[in-house]
Amino acid sequence: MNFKSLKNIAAIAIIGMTITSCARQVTRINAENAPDISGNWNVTDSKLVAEEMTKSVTSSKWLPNHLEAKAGKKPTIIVGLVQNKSHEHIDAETFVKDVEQSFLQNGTIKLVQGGKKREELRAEKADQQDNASVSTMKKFGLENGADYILQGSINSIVDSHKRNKVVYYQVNLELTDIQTNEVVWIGDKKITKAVKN
Amino acid sequence: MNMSDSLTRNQGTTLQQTYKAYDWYEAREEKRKLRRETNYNNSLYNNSYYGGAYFYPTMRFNNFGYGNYGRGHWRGGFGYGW
Repeated sequence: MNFKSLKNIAAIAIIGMTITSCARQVTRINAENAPDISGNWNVTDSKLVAEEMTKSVTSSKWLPNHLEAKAGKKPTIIVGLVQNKSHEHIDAETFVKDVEQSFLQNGTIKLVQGGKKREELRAEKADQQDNASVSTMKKFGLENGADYILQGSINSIVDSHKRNKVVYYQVNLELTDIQTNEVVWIGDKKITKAVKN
Repeated sequence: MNMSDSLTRNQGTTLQQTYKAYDWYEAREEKRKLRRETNYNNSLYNNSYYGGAYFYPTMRFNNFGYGNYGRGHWRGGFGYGW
């Protein structure tokens, strides 16, 4: 092996090391142990809200009261709008889906689709009127009407001075009887964070 | 589209009505960024063909904006409007 080939090997090794040392590293982490990086709303906050709401909504008195008043008929819920009035972009679906999941796991609560998903279902039904066989075609006017609507809001207060910041988030979800407008349950989760830059 | 359609279309979504909170640290970073941009733009201006004060620092004064024309040419240390 002459000196020139040794030089080439060394050059390739150096280039290879440089490329691998600059490569981005990605590691899968458990959502339970997600670190706080910027101090903004993150997966841990969403998880805390989901846990609190799930626990509260399924153990609250509204459910036994409904079952008693309606002779054991399961309540049907539709998910309405959540207003994010905080200072950060937060998508409530990250925790509302967990609440919806808890309804279904509970077994005593029924859930119906709303919004664009319901529009899609109706469009599919309309399509079936022309294209599906009569025996499999789904009819209009047989949807389950919701008894309750789940709505919510996210609010925040920011207090900052120099490098210190305290952020307070308040997430509220509420369940309202569609027939009577009576609010039967309000769940809330308050999170306060101290951030030092 | 009637009113009920427009209201129910957004069911299950999050309506973003966010506000901008004052953050001292972020405001400082923004000010720094703005200052850097201003300094960069000024340096571009000073190095341009029609020139600023890069080659002739004293010429930016007392010519009331008329004497800068043609100062990109070196005239033995004196500009056109000097």
